[in-house]
Amino acid sequence: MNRRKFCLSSFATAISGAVVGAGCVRVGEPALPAASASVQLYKFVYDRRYPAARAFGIAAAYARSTSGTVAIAGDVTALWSRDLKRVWCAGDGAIAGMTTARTLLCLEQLAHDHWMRVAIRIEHAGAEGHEVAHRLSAAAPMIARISPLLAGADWAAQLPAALAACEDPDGACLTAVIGSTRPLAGADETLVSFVIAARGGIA
Amino acid sequence: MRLPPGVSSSEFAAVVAEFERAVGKQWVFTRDEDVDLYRDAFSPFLHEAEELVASAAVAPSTTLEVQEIVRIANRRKVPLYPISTGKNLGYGGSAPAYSGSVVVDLKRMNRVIEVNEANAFVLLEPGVSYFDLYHHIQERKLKVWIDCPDPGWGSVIGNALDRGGGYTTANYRNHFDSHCGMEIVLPNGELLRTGMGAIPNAKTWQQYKSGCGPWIDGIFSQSNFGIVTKMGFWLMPEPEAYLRGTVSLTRYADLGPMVETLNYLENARITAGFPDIASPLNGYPPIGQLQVWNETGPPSQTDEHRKLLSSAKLGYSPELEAYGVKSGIPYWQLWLSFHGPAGVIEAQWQAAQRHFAKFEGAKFRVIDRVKLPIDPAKADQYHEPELGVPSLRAFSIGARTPWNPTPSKGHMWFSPIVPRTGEAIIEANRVFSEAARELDMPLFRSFSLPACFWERCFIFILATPVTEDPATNKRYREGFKKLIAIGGQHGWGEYRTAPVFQKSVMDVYSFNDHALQRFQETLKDAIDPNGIMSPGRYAIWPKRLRERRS
Repeated sequence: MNRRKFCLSSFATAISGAVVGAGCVRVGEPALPAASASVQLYKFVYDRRYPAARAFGIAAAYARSTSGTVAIAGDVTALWSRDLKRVWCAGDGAIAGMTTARTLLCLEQLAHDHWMRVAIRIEHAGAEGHEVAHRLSAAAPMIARISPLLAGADWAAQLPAALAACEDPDGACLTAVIGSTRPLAGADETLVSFVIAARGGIA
Repeated sequence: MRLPPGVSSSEFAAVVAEFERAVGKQWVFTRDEDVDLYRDAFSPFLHEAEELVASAAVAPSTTLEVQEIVRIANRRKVPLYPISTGKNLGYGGSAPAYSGSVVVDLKRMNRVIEVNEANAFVLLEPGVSYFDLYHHIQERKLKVWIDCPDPGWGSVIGNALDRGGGYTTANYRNHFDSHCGMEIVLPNGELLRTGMGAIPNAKTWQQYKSGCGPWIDGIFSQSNFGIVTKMGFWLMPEPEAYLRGTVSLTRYADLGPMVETLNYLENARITAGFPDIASPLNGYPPIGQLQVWNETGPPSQTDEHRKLLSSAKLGYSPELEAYGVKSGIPYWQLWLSFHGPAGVIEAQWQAAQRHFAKFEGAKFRVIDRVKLPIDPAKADQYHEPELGVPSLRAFSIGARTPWNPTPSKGHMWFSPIVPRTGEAIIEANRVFSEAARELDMPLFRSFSLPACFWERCFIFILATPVTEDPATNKRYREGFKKLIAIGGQHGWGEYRTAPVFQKSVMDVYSFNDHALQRFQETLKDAIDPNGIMSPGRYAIWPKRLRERRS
């Protein structure tokens, strides 16, 4: 199944019938996804309340060309209402980010409504002695690529570029736990880094 | 490929092929990666084999496709589990009540068929979310409001069918009550319209609810008698202004008379907005302030205050009351809100104050006077749903904060309905706090207050956490069931619950040897003889699976 086809078919129904699709109305002709290409990220999202997420956000601005980075403070209502809803309905809008688990749950549920899913998930949990354990769920090649970065002191700043190089993750994800002696400075929240992309072909 | 119970892999492959012919191959999901997206994000069976899961999912885009899916399932005796958007997480999410059912995902059916501004109603499909409907109305600058729950990401129809509630005025807060007319695909694939919709070419389907003869709409809520494919709702004409004020009272004994006064004001429609009861002295916030408390933290308490709270019984001690008077902290605080022309709501607020003036030491304060419509970009200055604006801020509640250091993985709502009296509040606290302590459940550990979603009753809405630890989750599940039964012994019942607790809840509704349940089963056997529609939902099992009831 393909989310892009979903939105196109909804639009076709809307313009051919007497009714209007409330959820998805295309605003332009989509570019076809490249097979086996890297994720074409629309935006980076980070939670500005947490130092590690701020480091992620600063690095994200330089990671690659996207439509920008968005700083939030837990709540994604504005991001959703004024931005992502329109873009996801139009069949675009893969995002990467670092937020709280609650925020990701929220984005993940909204993503399901648009036939998208979490393709990469990395939990950064504080452990005893203020160390961090990274729990990484992704396709095997992405685990191999990202794991070394998580052991470094600047893991939060390294992640945007790595996530932006995410390849089509369609298929089963594996899980790996990577320990680190590096502190998650200034926060005791379990943060989560992620990529949300279309199921199957990533736009 | 997962399989429905009692269906062989070859039989199911044939069913899947038929589904694919009906809706298109891309709209039938059988891979684990896709089907897993229908797991309950807040399942109390986290990491356990008993978790309720689907075998597959199918996503039709029209009523005709729904009918075809149902006919196929009926022929093949494959259980279905329709969902609108599956967002009632604290009440069960999108996972089926009968493990192995095929989820019928209706979110492609997302058409707003009509918004009638002149007579304030809407007709829509089940995939339309509150956000969708709100934006549809905003983009067309229509002068009508939605009434949405918190958060507002769910389906308008799905929430109404689950009998959810919202936050604007009393006429609209009960989402099932505010519906007008349904279209349903019955378990044999036949199409039914209720109310005036039963008249071909009906002119008043969304304008008169009951039609003529028995009014059957209710049996399609919290049930398994069909798939609702269209539903009408009455909307609230956009009010001119909004006023919110508080009434603060100082004595514990004021609780009962305060509730009686509120009941009069609400039943007489002097106040129609969402009434919100708080106890600043007990540290219990109003619902409308929960997200603010979560974001900025609760008001600080002195050591003396905390000590007095720890020794209070059922939220009371003479010393605590004296401390409140000395410190100017109200025992009770009632938040009242009013929607309408500015002159009218000012007069209503004045009338409310007159009724509360009989309370010694009563204090009144206006929190908000808002000229409507507000700029949507500024809606987050308020509790958005009280202004008909959907929000996701509620999802920040439960995040890790200094005042919530151990957030849960999810929650199960414990939601008993109790009488609209002060005595019932105290009695429910007594009964449930004693039981929760014995059961080691994290509910009612401090004095708790109910919500006023609906007139004439209270509803407690308390979260039981889902944790990473299966043993803890098991203890909570068992404790939850016992709390349901204890509530039933006192004449209180849940208004809604997740599939895993639906049997326990319906067992409480046992008058005359479970006459209600037997009647529902009689209906089930007549309407759905093959038992394909959401088997087990709200403990209504078809004849072929009825042994599962026990």
